[in-house]
Amino acid sequence: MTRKDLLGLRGMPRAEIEEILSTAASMREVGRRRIKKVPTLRGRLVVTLFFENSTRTRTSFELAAKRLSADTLSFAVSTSSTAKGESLMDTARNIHAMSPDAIIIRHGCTGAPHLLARSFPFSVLNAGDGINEHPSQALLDMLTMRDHWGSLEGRTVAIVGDVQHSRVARSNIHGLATMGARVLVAGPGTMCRRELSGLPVERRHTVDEVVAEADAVMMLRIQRERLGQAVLPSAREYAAFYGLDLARLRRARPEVLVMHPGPINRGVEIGADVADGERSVILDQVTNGIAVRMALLFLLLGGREGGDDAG
Amino acid sequence: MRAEVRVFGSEATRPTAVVLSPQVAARAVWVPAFVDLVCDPGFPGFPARETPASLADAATAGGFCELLACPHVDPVVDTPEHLSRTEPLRPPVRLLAAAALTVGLRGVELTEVGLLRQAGARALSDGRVPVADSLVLRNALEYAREFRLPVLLRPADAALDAVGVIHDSPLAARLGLRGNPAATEEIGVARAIALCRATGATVHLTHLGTARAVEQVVAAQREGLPLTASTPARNLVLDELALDDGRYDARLRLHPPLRGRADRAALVDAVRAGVLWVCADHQPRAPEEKDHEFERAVPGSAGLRSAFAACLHATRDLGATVRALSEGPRSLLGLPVGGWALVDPEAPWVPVPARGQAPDALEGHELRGVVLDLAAG
Repeated sequence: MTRKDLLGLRGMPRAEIEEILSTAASMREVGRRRIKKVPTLRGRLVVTLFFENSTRTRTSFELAAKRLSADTLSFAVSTSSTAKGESLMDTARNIHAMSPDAIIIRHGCTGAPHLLARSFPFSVLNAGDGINEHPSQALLDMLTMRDHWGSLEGRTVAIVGDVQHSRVARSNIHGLATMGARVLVAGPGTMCRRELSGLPVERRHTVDEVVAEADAVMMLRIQRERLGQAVLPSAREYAAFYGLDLARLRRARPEVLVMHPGPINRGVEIGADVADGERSVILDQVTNGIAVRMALLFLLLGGREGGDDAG
Repeated sequence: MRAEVRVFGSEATRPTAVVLSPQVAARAVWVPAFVDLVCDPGFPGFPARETPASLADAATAGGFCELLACPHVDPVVDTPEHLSRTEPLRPPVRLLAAAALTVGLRGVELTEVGLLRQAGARALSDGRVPVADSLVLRNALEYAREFRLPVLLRPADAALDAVGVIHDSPLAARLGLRGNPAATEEIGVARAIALCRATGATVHLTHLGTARAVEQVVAAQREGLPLTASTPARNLVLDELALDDGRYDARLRLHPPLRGRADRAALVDAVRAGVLWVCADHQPRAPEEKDHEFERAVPGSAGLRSAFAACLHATRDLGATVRALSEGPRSLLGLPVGGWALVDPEAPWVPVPARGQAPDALEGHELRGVVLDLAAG
């Protein structure tokens, strides 16, 4: 891979996605060792810069960097000068002065990683920007599906919920379409707007329709702050019409995969018995997350510089 | 060498003060200097954006003699006392004042329209801020009508106007940016037309961007209403597809946003047909105001230097360009020809970023048409 940054899956060629997924599959082996560490990125500095709260994505990236022996620095935004009104570019200039090799950024504004990527020489990995993309999440989702199916070609994936404002959905849609899968979406009208026709998806009116056709059903997290606003009336209304409970799951194919990017609102978008049930691969997603992020750091930082092999 | 150059629309010639090659002299033409109906001077209050000297430079380079200054400077031009403090510009460029329609641009109380007119206000406007309350707007139009001042309105539904940073469309979904719907403008235009009809006030709608808004304006003009409209010149060259490269270039952060390709075509047709005028929509921004994430960058773009080239490039019609940038705006403000712009309609030109000049959304775009000089009347 020759790219400097991972900004999104929109426009990423199929061969590159396959390279990332294959590399990730081989990285999983490191996590099964007694000593879960390889020296590939020894002496390299990886900075996490999270402007929004996140526990699992951040720890997953940090663990991935540590398993590759990189030094990690976690830039705590809430206690930093950003809280005092410093601009993103000024924050980045300060971090740049510490000579990082990569910055992993999560930011509330679409395009924030793109701005850093074209302004600085270090690699930028997008860990979620605005309502745009969350590419490492989509890659781990695709790795999880590939583990079960061998190939994504010709498969049907349903994404249910707030597709409009979900960066997980948007990255999955771009990536899955590139890999030859068909993506169905369903959700409330305010969250699955007609403008989604700009994406390679088929919009359906009911969750039952997409569940019946899908090889995998991806339930998106409902943000509780949207409840009771003019976007969504209530949690119980959402659960009744858009949640995945056992009754709705019975309409699905017997071998369907149930996925969720977490954290889960049990009883809202997904029933507890479904989340913990035999079709759920939610915890596999977490395990694969570390492997995918190791692969990304390896390919962006180490793969081309003749460093030690991951094995 | 200096040359005698023909004057647009007549048999006469005028001598040039600048030296032209014979080829350029043969193509060049003097046209009545342009008038910008939507200019944000940046002063008082925003020295990092613009100074009287840099504004005069931009206007001269763009062929503009008269600039109608929007009132949203700091302090807002909503009293005769504020109006009298307007700084003069280097001749032949003149700054004319549009006074606020409502106090503080808050859309609640009417300004002292009569006293503002006596102090020199040429028009009334809340600039880019839409008057949210329709009753206030109706009263403001009725009141302004008796003082025979034109009212400039940016047509928008205030609630929808607050949503989104680019045009609401399938492209917005693809780019992961919140969209601002075309309905924002369509509702605003419908309301302005209804209140123009109800009050008889002279209304000019600014910042038009959608094909449906153009249709609404055409219908209102056929009906005989005293209503005109304009679009920023950049809207004739750029549309939402300028953002499709996925760079999230903050120079393209504009409000109202660039609309769709079909909208742009409708705007160009309307300018050619003389239905729609063109403004520079000059909103200088300091470079550091654009050095941000797309959503956080301050909306707006400089426009005076590129307005003529953009309009001529898009319409390929010098007559329509002169009507849209000079004759139309003059008729609204009752201004005689204030000066002459020497233009070469055929020369290619690419606006580029320059130190000391506010960023322009058209930077990097190949245009055809150059302003060579600006002379007093």
